[in-house]
Amino acid sequence: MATATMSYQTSGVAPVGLTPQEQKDMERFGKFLSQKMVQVIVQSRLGEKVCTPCKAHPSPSDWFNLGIEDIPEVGIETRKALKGQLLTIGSPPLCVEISLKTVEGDSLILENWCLSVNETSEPFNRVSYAVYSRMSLLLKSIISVSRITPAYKLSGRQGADSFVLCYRVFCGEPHGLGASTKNCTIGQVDTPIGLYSVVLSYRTQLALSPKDGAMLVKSDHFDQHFISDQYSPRLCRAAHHKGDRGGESSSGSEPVASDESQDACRLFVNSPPGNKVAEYQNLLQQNRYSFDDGPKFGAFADPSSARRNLSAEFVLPELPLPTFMKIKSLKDVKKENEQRPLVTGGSALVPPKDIDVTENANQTNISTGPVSTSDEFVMVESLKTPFAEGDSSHDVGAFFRECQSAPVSLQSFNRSSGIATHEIGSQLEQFEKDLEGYDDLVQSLCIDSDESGK
Amino acid sequence: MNARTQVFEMALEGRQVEEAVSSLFHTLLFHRTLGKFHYKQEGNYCVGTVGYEDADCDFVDLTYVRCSSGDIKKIVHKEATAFSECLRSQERETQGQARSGHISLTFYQIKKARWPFPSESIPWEVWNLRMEIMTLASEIERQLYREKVGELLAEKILYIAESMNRPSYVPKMPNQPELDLIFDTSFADIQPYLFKISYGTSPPSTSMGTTVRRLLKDTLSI
Repeated sequence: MATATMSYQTSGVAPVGLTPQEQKDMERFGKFLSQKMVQVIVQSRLGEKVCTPCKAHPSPSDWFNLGIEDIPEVGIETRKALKGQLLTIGSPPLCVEISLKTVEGDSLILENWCLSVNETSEPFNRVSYAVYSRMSLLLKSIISVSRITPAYKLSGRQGADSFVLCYRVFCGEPHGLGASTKNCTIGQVDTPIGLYSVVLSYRTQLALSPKDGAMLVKSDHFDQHFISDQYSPRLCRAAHHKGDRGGESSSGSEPVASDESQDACRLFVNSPPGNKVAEYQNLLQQNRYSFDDGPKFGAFADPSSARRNLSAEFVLPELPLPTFMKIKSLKDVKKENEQRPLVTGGSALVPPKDIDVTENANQTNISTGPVSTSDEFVMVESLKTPFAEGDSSHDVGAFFRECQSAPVSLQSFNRSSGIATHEIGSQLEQFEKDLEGYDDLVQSLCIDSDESGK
Repeated sequence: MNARTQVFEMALEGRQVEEAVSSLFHTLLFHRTLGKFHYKQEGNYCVGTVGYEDADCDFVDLTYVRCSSGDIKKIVHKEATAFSECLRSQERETQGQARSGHISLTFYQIKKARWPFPSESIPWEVWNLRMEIMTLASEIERQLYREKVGELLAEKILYIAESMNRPSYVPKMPNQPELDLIFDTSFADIQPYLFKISYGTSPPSTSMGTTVRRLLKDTLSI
């Protein structure tokens, strides 16, 4: 049976016609040629660089002696398009359509790759390595040519905020691409069961005419020259969004399988690869303002004189929000100190501290926080948690203080468990007394199951 | 037997020469490379796997595919760089005047001859690149030329693919004793057809005497 790691016979006398095994092998060649063709085309439009290793000894999955890694979703789409059938002479060609979709919802077909089977011009009498190697050569040509079309360059620039490339696999005649189209036959392989041909059609101009029924687009609409047009507001906005997501890991593309209605599958890249984006992000970082940079002054203003004129009442204390909750008046601190019954565990505490007293009189949760006295702040009373009630002992601040440090000991461990122990012990004694009865019950159940089995 | 010969001519900047040569030669070698043959009993053999990778050009707007074998990358890089340096040094010596050169990738097979005659190398496919160095005045021109050379090389790659897939002569698969006559078995992970790269700074002459002299020289040197 034919597998990827095939053994080949050196040439000898060829019998007339194909044996059933050769017919089967030939059909497998055709089937895997279809699948691998779709794989290499789709993978070339993901916007990622491909790199597969050379292996001195082949793996069972390395069809046509090429290191082509399979994406499972693409394989599913291909099998769905073929519907379990093989491409035969006269059947509709297998097409891979690559289209572009903008964020506005406009769509543009960029290229069509078609694999068709026609009448063989020189029927072979034997399936030999020559056929297999020519199929391998054809795949190499597809791989090489897939990098030179405009769609390849666009694939490296796709993103969620500009456009994405989609693919569709189907059996049938491809859609026309308009006037500015180049058609080329990548290659042909003559086999005993037909002449396999791969034809590529791709747009040479990305601008649309009104006759196509789509909106008029400038010829450079999808062309983002990050270097020459770096000050374009549209690109600034697009790159700004990309810069915000720059911290996310670019985990590569995750093609989405189409639904049963054969809608275009989407190829999506989290962030476009290449150094150009990094350079442009650096440019944006230089021009981006941050609240940490300090106040900005108007043109022709003297920053030094502006700072001197700022009065104290306009200066806000630089305090994080949680400290607002901890700040108490000196009066409240003294009151809590008087109510505190015990101090348990831990290090010595120097009053007054930020102390909270729980309702449990036997336990005191002590938490320490930043020292806040009335001498450090001008207006302590007004610095309270926004939208909080006046009494700080029952608000979010109190909860925060409770959670700020771990409890000294858990209440459940201090609760006596004598009642539970007594109940369990008596239950165990009762079970031991009824042990013989339980054994009889089990015996009766076993006897009943044996009798029913017979 | 006459070798199938193809000539590509192009004018480009000195810094683009190395990438232009690499892109075309790697495309050719990718097509003309098989996996390692492992012979078994009764004349059966199995073939290793050829990996590939994308390569971006810095001075040309192009990405091409090449075999991911480190050995073959070294060979092509070495020859392309040497050729580029040769052309650019000549350009410097002549103070920026346009200079040209040619570099060839030849696939050949070895034919054993009877004693006392030595074996001969018979080329069956020759790819000639003739390049002329240009000097561009402004950055705008360089940017335009970067794209133009990229398009030109893309057309060549498409032509190579179409040419490779046409029914044409390729040495037939040999038996194990004759493997070294067809393939270069010195690589650890791949097995390209026997090939050689040669270059010169002056374009090849078309006179009969020079042609015969060159054929004799090539035959004896291989």
